[in-house]
Amino acid sequence: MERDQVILKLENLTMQFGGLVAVKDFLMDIRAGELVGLIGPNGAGKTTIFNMITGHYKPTAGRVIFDGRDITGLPPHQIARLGIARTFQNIRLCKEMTALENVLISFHPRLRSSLFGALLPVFGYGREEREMREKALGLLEAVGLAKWADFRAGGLPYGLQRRVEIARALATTPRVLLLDEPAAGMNPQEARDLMGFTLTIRETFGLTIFLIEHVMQVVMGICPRIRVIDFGISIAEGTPEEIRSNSKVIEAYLGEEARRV
Amino acid sequence: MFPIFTLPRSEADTRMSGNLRVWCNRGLTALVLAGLATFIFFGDRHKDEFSLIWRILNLGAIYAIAAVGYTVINGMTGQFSLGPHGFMLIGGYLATLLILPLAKKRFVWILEPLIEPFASFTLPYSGFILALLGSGVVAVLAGLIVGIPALRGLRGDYLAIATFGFGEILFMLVVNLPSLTNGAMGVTGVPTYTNLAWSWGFLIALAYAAMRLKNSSYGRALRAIREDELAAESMGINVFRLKLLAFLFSAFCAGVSGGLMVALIGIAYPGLFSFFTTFYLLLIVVLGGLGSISGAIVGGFIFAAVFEALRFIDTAVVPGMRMVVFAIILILVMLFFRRGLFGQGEFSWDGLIAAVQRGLGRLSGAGGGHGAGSSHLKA
Amino acid sequence: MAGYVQQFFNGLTLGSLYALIAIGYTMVYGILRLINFAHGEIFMFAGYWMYFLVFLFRLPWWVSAVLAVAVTAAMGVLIERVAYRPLRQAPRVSLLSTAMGVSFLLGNVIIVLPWAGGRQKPFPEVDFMRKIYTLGDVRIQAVTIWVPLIAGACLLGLLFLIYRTKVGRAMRAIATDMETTALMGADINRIISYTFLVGSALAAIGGILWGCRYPQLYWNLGILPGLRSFTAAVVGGIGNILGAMIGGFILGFGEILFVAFLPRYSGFRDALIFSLLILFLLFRPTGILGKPLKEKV
Repeated sequence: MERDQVILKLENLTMQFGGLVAVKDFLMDIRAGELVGLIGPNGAGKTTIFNMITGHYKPTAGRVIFDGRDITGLPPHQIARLGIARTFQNIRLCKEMTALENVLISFHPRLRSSLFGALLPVFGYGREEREMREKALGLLEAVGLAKWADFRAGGLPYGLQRRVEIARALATTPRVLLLDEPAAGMNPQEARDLMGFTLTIRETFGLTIFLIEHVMQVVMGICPRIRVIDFGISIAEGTPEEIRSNSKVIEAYLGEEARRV
Repeated sequence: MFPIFTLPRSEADTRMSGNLRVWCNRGLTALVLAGLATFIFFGDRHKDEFSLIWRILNLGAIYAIAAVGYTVINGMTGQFSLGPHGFMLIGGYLATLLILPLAKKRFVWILEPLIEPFASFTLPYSGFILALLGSGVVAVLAGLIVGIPALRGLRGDYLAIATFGFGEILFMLVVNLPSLTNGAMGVTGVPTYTNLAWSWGFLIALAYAAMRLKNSSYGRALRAIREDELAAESMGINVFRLKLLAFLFSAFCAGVSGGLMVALIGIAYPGLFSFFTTFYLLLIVVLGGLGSISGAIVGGFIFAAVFEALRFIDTAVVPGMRMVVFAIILILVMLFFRRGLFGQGEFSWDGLIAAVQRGLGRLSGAGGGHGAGSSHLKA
Repeated sequence: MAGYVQQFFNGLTLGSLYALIAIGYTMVYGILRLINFAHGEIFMFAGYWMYFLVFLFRLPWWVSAVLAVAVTAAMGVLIERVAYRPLRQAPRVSLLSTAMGVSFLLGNVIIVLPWAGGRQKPFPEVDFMRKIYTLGDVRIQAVTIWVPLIAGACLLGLLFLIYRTKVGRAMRAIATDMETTALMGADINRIISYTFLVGSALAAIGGILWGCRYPQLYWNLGILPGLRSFTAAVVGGIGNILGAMIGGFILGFGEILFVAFLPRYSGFRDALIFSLLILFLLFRPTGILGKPLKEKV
């Protein structure tokens, strides 16, 4: 796919829970290679949009077009296999497994050996397992986690857990990566590291990244294009400068401050 | 440096110690297998002299076979099934139909004739392996019927109760299909083909398969499902298919186990595998450590031994006491010893050697290092 | 005609008994997301307490009934405190295994107890329940009137407790969101104890009324009524108290009708109930009243 072609097209996505409209008519085109930010006050419906893209929610109305193909309503594992990977707001690693094993999980869908190949020692499963491990280690190395490979994922410091989660998403060989508040809970230094890291993986793996973020410093620092939603409705889109001076955005966030007080 | 990181050993460690250790371990395993083969050979020859021990060793292996399957679905995959007794029942009855001599078949099914094709053929001793494999296969077929709807839609408590309901429905079918099962009266005179060679042979084969499964990419995917189903499916894992796979593996093990049991005790009747059996299996896998294959095996033998040892309490002291003891053990293990004997880990020679070294160190007062117990988390 | 009236009262009686038991399942599930496998045994124990108190301690039946309810309710609270609470944060499989263990323990303790044992025991007779009223050619047993009345009073009391008292409000809050409720300063453990107290007390009342209706006691008495009531809770929408009541009556009337009209197949009654349970779990897990529980992503 060439750069600048639309890779992910969200057409009037709408999600209704009972009487509550969480997202209404969300419309967006994301081009290959882009790094787009999605911001909005708490409960604005950001994660709901991600869940509709990845198939965890079936949209009440609207379509998700990925690379020219309608993927609305496909089960999550198929969407993941097509090339959309994600991370979660509250890190969802397999805590009792090692960092390496977490990454290896993502290789499973592309396993060549059949079940019987894996159960019996004569069909060369061992070789494939070694190959997978090499690749997974390579990936961990690429994200700077090589020395943590054999540590229990749940015991790693928070920032590293985030990286493992991203490495695990990368191992599915995605073309689009959805990052859900990657900087949440990080200290300023970790957040700065994350910014550089995000840009690096985008270059190295030729990714399109769609990013939800609460930490303004991060999203303003790396996303050339930012979309703002409030109460499930898009209220603004533009460059960081445009967003910063947009009166509707300021109102939405001030409103939140006011609500908090 | 980081005391929270207590993972026993890293990839680098194993690589450094080289292939020597691997070959050493393989040699030890081969030695143990050879020892087992000798033991089985002489054990079966002298079974009449040690009939109680021989019986316990068989029962232990039979329970262990079902428990290995049960720990794959309940422990490794984290899907709480309460239906293994149903699969054992199916396996047991199929084996009965396949190996019961024709003369016996005519004698047992008097009120309602046995349906074809079972009425007109029977397998000789040499076909016992086919009967056992058939028991496993028929359990797998039943597993498909139950598993496809149940595993697609249900998890946690709901899955447990649905599989439980399946087991009960099956029990009622067995009672109410006399032309296949001879109903509530059961079937006596099943040839007692089971011996150590059969029960231990199947245990070794199935445990080996389960270990390969656990250490393969499939096993990793199953463990990922247990830990976070949602994350696993987001990484492209077909959660339903893998759950079904684990469920069918456990059904196969249960079916074989049922067949072996019937051919050990020589009778089949509807109550042979009741919900109690599932309770026993639950106790075994919990005791051994949920998800540990070594634990399921050790647990199976411990259970069989205790079960027979406490028989006198039930017959001579207070009936029902044995179940009370088992229930209390289950609760205590869950409350105070949730890891069980092996946690989710497995027996390994390295782990055993390390444990022995630590033990010796402690004895000599040098002070053992602190690390994981005797079980190693195999990467 | 007379037959229909009698069957109606039979259905009403059985339905109210199932409703009483189903509420315990549904309350515990609503709050802890746990199927309390031991609930059927709690129900069974109430009958045995009656037996012990009346025949061993020679107490009058009404004193025994009050005491039996109190002791059984205390058992429910104790079980939660000892066996479930330490495992609240543990994996589901652990909690479920423990619940199974408790269920087997209680059932088999009855067999072991020298005053109870594995054989059937008679439930103490309560005189006014044994009367038979005749109205023309309609003969109605007093018990089929008293059971629905008492059960109805309990259910009304429960609805009052849940919707009009502070404890009830806290229970509903925990069922919706335990963590937030804890953050608001509610004493979660106390409320959960109350839940087990109320659920077990209702099961105990159910157990005593069951004994009045079917006056034999045996050690595995709790299993089938327990499962039928659990089915009732699922049919009504588990976690939903009103649903449990409705589900109880649906099952009670359904069972009476089935046995009355298809007596030849009455042996398949439980197979049918299990099928109903499985079908509901598969195709309508929220029951007829329940609201869908959505997992947070």
